[in-house]
Amino acid sequence: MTALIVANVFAWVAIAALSVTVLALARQVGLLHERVAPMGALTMEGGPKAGAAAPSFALTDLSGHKITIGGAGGRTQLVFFLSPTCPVCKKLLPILRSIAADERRTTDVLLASDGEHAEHLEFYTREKLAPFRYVLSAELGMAYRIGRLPYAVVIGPDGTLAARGLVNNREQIESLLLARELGVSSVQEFLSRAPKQDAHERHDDVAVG
Amino acid sequence: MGGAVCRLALAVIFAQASVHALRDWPTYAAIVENFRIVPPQAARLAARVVPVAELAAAALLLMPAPRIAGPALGLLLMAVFTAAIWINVARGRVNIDCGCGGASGQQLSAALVVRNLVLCALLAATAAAPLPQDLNAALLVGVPGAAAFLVALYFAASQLMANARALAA
Repeated sequence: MTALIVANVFAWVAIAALSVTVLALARQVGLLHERVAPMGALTMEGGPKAGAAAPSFALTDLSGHKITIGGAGGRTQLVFFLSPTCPVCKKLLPILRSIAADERRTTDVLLASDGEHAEHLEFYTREKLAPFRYVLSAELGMAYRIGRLPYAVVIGPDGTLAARGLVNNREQIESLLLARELGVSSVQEFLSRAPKQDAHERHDDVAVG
Repeated sequence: MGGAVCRLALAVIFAQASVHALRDWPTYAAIVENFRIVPPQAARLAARVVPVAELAAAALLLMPAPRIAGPALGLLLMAVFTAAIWINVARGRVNIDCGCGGASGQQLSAALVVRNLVLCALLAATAAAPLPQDLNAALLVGVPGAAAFLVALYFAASQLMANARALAA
């Protein structure tokens, strides 16, 4: 009887440990897929670097008006790459509206995607995106090596690429604009440039040298 | 005992899906709308109703009476989800987000339909299975243990399905 109880306890512990192991392995495989996805890995590496001149594209927006993305236009451009089937993009649309309103003196917020004109026009009408200009260009996405959405690119008034990155919330979009104002390619870079200040600010309660 | 195990496991799965949806509701609403089963206005309503119904199903599954209520609500929800997934798989729109909770960014596939049918079979089984009457030590350890095992199996299977999609891409 005691032997049975011991064996049973052991079996339960083994089942629990193996379940956790299998789950962890599956998740790790999933994370690896995300990291090595051909586009995912390149988003950080490929395409124009922050600080360099942004490639200039003469495009036509959904309503047929000419628009230039990149180039020294005198205004900051925030290009938001999205797709009608990307749920996070849809979540960010109201946030983009509010950012566009807050920054309207200096910044144009543009939406970019690629695919069929009719589908995007339907999306544009349904989501009431009239305040934004919306362009369809596969070349634009390829130039910035957009692999995952939603992705945002900030081009400064002088035509230099100020910052770019995958964005999932308001803070991340604002961090790209902030990075432009600070003259760094990303907030991470700003923090690494000023390590002492950063250490001081973030670890106020700890005695860091 | 099997009935109690399945009820507990299914309750955890429904509760998890509900919490996952409620924690990032705007994204969840966009996912529901993206299924294009009902018009956008109705989709937003559905996105409000479904997580609440899932939570209710989880609670009902844990209640001894009425025995049929939890499995019935669960089956109704699963029928709706499975139909929505199947319609979009049939339309060829497999690249949309499943919104299933658990594995993030899981997309639609025929395997997902099979997984849901397995869950439906478990729900149907719990409706018929009697609940244990007397509690003893073996049940107190065995039921949560076996339920935790089933939940882990469910999440591992979901994750492996998501991985299979990434591999096939």
